Amino acid sequence: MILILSTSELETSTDEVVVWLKKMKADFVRLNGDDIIDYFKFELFNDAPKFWIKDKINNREVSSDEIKIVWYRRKINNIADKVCKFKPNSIEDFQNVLGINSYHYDELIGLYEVLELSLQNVIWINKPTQKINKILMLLEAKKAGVNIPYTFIQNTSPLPINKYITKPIKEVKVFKDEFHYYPMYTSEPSEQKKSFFPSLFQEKIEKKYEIRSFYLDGDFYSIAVFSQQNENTKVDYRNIFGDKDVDISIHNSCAYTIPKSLEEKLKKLMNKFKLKSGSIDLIKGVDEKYYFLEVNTVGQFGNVSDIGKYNLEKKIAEKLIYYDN
Amino acid sequence: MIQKEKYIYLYTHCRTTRGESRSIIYDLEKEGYDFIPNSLHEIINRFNGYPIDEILMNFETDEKKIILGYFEFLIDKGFCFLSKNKIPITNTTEKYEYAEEILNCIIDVNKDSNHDFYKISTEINDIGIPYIQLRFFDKVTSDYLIGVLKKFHNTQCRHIELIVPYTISLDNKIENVLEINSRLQSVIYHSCKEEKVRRYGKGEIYYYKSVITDESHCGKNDPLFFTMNKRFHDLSIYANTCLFKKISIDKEGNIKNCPSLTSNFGNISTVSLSRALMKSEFKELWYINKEQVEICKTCEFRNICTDCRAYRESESLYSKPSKCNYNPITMKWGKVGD
Repeated sequence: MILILSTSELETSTDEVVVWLKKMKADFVRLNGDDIIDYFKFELFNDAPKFWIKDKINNREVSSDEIKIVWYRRKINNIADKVCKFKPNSIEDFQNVLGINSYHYDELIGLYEVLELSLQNVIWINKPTQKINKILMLLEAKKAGVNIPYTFIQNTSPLPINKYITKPIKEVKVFKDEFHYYPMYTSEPSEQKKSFFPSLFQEKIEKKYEIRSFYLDGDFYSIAVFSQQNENTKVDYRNIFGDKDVDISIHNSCAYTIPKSLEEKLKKLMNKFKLKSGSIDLIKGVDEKYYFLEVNTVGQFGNVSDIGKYNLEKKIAEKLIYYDN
Repeated sequence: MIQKEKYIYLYTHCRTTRGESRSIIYDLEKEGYDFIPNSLHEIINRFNGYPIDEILMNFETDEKKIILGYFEFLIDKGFCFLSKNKIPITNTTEKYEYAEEILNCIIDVNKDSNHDFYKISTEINDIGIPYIQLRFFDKVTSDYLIGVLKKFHNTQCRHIELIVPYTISLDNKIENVLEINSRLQSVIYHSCKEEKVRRYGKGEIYYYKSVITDESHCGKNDPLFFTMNKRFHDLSIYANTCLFKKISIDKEGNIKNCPSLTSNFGNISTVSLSRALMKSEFKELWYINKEQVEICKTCEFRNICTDCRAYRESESLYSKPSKCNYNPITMKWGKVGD
């Protein structure tokens, strides 16, 4: 049986794969973050750990013994709000609620680790606990023979401006209010600051175009994004409307084939990190070299699929069924 | 000034279609088009991705200037771009695939209709239809609409569209209707006094003057209804852009491919949608594309224009849509009925 670990909201890509799985009459169960808190049993037997979950669609209990392949899409998000319904009235309360939420979140992470422990001998399209450190990734990419931008972290002035970009050492955070989302983008520091938090900087590569490559079990599906025509998106192509929505479809973009030699190097890199799938960000520099930026293991692939006409949703469904048999 | 040593590329989301008297070039992302001479259509398709100086070698001296002018136009308009080096762009021959057996469903309702919406929504859910259009010909109250929409609460469809006659009392309460089902994202009023568009939450409310009393209002061909996107274009090459993966329930409850067609596959009161779909003739018109339709096959608009097989000029399944008055030879739009 195929197990899909996902969330119920904002998962169009997963929804579409599920439609294919149904059409192909696959044996699968989709477990959204919220479902875990509704129904979960785990026992530590002498020989092996084992869990039971509920398949809501078919209204049946599924045990870990039945699962042969796991497609891990998303960890729970916002689920903490659903567990702790207390509305804070003071700053102290507010901080306690934050504490309770972060406790529940950690507990859920613990549950995912238990899921993983109970499914040691099955194939994972990516293990949730697989650590993807950006810096380590760059280091390994370099070892595999792929160009990377010169990278450093500092908090001493002067701030490197003009020739450098900055992005988080770990993950981007999205802030929101009633009306808008405020995601973080890769940007260029433009003015001097006396003091700043230790930040990651990278040499700004003059790019001809950006490449987003979806990797699935040895195969690469790439698109080129010509973001240079638009001032806003020169640094980060996701930043189309200044700082509003994230959507690359209105860009000039097209299906693209990366060279075999680059594929081989990237494949080595993905294997090194035991990644069966991921979205790889690359740049083709004006110097005609390919630069590796980073890998997103749980990123959306709808755009790449649509622009490149790759029908990735179908290909993923086929891949899951292949490993289930 | 164009540097002639550079390679010229047509963006993959830009396409050209050759017509009898002229061609068009269109952008499937920015949704715009321009007319180009047929000779330029040939040049683009023959020399896409070639260095400009190499292209020019194929032409006489006096032609070279004209061609460079064409290229400047194509680059200015954002259809083409230049590159110092060759770019490994993939021109895929793949087509978009759909897991869904049916992509959209039209349900027509007038004052004499007697649909069991609970049964309909259950059957729509069984098939997994993502888009539903509810088309009302006669005035309805907000309470009635809310009652109908509630029946669609548990379906997995992604988008519901409502076409309904405008009344002041309904418009006053349309917010209540929109809130009842989050999948209801657009309301289209017909029979309005003035035309406008209004946003409401995630959705949009359109006000149109046209009066829709039955299904026969449909099937018009007009630049207003041109669709420029990749999926539509892709489909236009091998299938019917209107009827492909569509199922309908007409005002009398008859299950059809489209309410305007005559072929009837049973009444929803006695036959299920899935059962109707099993009849082989149901999909008879799905793959009739514009390349096969008389006149349309010589028209430069054939990959962005919708195709109606219900209202045709003659008995032949391949005759021109009767509500189109464009002439690809003279390149002129006439009045309806010309």
